[in-house]
Amino acid sequence: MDTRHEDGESAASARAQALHREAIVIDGQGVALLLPVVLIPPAPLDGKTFLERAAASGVTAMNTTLGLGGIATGPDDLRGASGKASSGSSSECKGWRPRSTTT
Amino acid sequence: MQGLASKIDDDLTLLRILHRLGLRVAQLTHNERNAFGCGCLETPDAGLTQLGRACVAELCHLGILVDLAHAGPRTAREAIEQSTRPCIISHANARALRDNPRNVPDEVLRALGARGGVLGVTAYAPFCETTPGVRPTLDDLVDHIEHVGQTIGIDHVGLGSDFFESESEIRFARFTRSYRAATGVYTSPATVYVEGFERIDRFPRLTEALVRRGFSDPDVVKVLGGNFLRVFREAWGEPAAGGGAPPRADDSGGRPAVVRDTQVC
Repeated sequence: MDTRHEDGESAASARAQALHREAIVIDGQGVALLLPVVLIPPAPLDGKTFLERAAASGVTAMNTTLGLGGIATGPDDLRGASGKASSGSSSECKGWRPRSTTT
Repeated sequence: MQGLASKIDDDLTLLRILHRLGLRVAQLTHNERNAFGCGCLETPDAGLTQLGRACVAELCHLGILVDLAHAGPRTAREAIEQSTRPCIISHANARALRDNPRNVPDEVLRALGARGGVLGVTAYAPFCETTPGVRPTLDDLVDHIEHVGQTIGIDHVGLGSDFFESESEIRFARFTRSYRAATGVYTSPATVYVEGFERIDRFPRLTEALVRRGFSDPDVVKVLGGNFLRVFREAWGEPAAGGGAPPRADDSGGRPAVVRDTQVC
């Protein structure tokens, strides 16, 4: 048995784990959590939600896409959704208030 | 946001509202032609339109990052030239390794890197195949990271998994019927990602694959997120007081000057 090879493997593994623990991990294109029409979050897996699994996987931040007009969700009404968000009437947007602005 | 033009009815004044609602990354096109430019499945790629140029200018002004994933090569190149801030290609791979219309030719990679941008290498299997129709592995994905790093520098490589776990089998089937040229033979969302890096849970495996391939510690950290973080800082800048979009110097109410001029003509 080549113990030097095993030691090398184990060292690489330990180094990767340490790096991953310390690094900022950014997924430049993550999941579509809130498509404007279907509003389907990914299903839980092994009893954990998508975001719980992302966090456990060390993901620090994720670019979450808003939707794919026409191909997957049908026609989107973003203008309507923006209006609902601004008026606070959408259930998804409860608690959301426009921030003050300098303009 | 993907396929921006259709989402805003080509109305650039909506960008300011979307910025206030939190939009920080916008993709000019999906796979098709729209009012801003051409998607990667359009031939020929006619490049960025006049409205597309105005859109890029407005996105840069507001501090919304321009994402050129799905764009055709000419559209992407012209948007990179037009942009005053670094752009990203959030999820695609290298066309030099896998000839797929969604992948990025080296000439576009060079333009992206020269302006400080980042490509997010993606786990989508059709974009990583080494043998057509055979599901690729995590090692094949690392080949793309290595290629982009060697072509434009490791400072311009990131990750964009495109893990689309909310995709149902029915919706996925619709998607693959629409985009056979880009999606290949894969018939299930469960198998359309590279083997070994197929779910959000697998990020630690990618780090280990990079280490085993011989990437240095600083380079691994850059690929995992350091490079995207740099671009986010450059694209978003310091937030304006109150978190709102910066005011424009003119009285256009947010409408880009070039659009106003076009309407006069």
